[in-house]
Amino acid sequence: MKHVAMVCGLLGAWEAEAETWVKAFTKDSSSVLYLSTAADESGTAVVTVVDLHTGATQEFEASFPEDPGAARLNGLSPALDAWLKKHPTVPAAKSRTSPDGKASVEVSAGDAASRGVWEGGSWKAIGEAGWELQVVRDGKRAAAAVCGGGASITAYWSPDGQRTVWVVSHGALTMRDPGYEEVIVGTDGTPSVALLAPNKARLPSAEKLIEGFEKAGFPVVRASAAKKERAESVVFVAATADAERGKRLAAAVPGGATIERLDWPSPHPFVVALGTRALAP
Amino acid sequence: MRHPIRVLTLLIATPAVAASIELPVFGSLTRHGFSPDGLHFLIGDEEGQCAVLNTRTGYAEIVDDCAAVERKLKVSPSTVSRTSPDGKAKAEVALVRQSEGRWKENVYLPGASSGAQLLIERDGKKTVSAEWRSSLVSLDVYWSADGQKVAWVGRSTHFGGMDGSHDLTIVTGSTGPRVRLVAEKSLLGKVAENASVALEAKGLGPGFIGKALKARDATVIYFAPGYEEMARVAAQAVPGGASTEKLTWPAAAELVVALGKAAAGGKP
Repeated sequence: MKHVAMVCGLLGAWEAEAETWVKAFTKDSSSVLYLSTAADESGTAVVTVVDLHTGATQEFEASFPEDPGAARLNGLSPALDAWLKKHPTVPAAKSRTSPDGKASVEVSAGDAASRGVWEGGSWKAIGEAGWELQVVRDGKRAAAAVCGGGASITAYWSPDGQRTVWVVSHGALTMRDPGYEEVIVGTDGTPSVALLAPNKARLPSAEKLIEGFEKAGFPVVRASAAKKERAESVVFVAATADAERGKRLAAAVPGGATIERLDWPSPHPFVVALGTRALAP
Repeated sequence: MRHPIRVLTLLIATPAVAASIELPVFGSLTRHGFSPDGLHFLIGDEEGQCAVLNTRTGYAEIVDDCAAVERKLKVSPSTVSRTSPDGKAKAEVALVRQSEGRWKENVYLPGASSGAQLLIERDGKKTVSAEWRSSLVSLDVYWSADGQKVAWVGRSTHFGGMDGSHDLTIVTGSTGPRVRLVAEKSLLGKVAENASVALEAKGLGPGFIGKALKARDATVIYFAPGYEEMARVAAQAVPGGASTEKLTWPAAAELVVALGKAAAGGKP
């Protein structure tokens, strides 16, 4: 099986060569499970479990099901069976509409770049090239995730309606070319938050704070280690994001946080870089 | 330290169309260029990992010891250039125009599959060198010394990782018609290589070599509309000769060389 992290990920995205089927969510909406089959003739399949709050993944090599689209997860691998016993799941519903029926998913190519300009040996798109994966609620559209365009996009809702999962298919070019697919984790339209631990060793401690952020209304879809360790926490807020929301997020950080402008191309409008003091016992 | 998920990138290997691979880049690019024979393109970052693509077979891989591979392949640094080394050809991008899509249950089908054609324009005529299958934000173009191969290095999104990384997609292509060579497994070694060298001498070198669906005795050159004459040239060049037939399936190529045992003197 061939997987690779994709940038458009950073909301949590993985690329799978060949076909991907989102199969189930855990009942507590903490994880999504998808089955991928290899593009080559190896006859292998992999079930990937993605944590919808941290982006962490766990893979189970599985026997190749006769009909991957219809296959159940049980019986594909003893290790997966054991995992499923501990983590009850519900099948992923094929519906655009949220479990409460009050929202639906939408895709917008928006002002996707339709032309570009050459500068020496480099070509650059004019305008925004990416697509926005959206949630429509009360007639209003909000970004749940972003990604590069594809040939088709399939959307799923987590059972609690707080996460959307999108499979972006990039088209096949020949009869034997399966193309490739990306699995992207998005929010329910609430602006997403990426959480940065001071360092890799403190990542587990940082992840314990996610529940608090979620309860305060800030969906964390990615947790990883920061490039540099800092003592005090900082909330980075994108120029296009709601500044007041940024203040509320800073107030929700244990020990508080200062606010700075998010000045790198992040798909998340809010990035919380935790300081060591926020994780002090 | 690379993000653990990205380690999985190492597993990406043979594509089904042409050499193509994703490379997570940390910091700036420190090396990029073709081998003197144009058979390999290498591109890597300051952490020492790089992507190596075989422009003939389509095989691509990520390697950790970039410096050693660079030395082995005698890769010389290339600069980005829209124009070919002889100044007679130039790179062009044709984006697929988007239109309103539709939903079927929970599946969104856009008006057109997102992507772009990466073209080479020579003497006013454009030929497809490679195809891009996502959004396209930026693209750099590198040429082999003989101007026969092009490496397209692009990004499908401007977003970067929390660790400062970003992903590049590298696709190599030809500067003439796209040629795929397929053969039964027993012919995929020396016989396929000899055929490739013969085709390259005519400017019709393959950009992909792979397994054929069936074994055959005689070689057949399948051609797309407008490429019949080139198919004849290819048929004369291939060891053991070949017949020509119209291409009747989507092949992402103008010529498909289905190598038969005749190319090995009749022996598999």
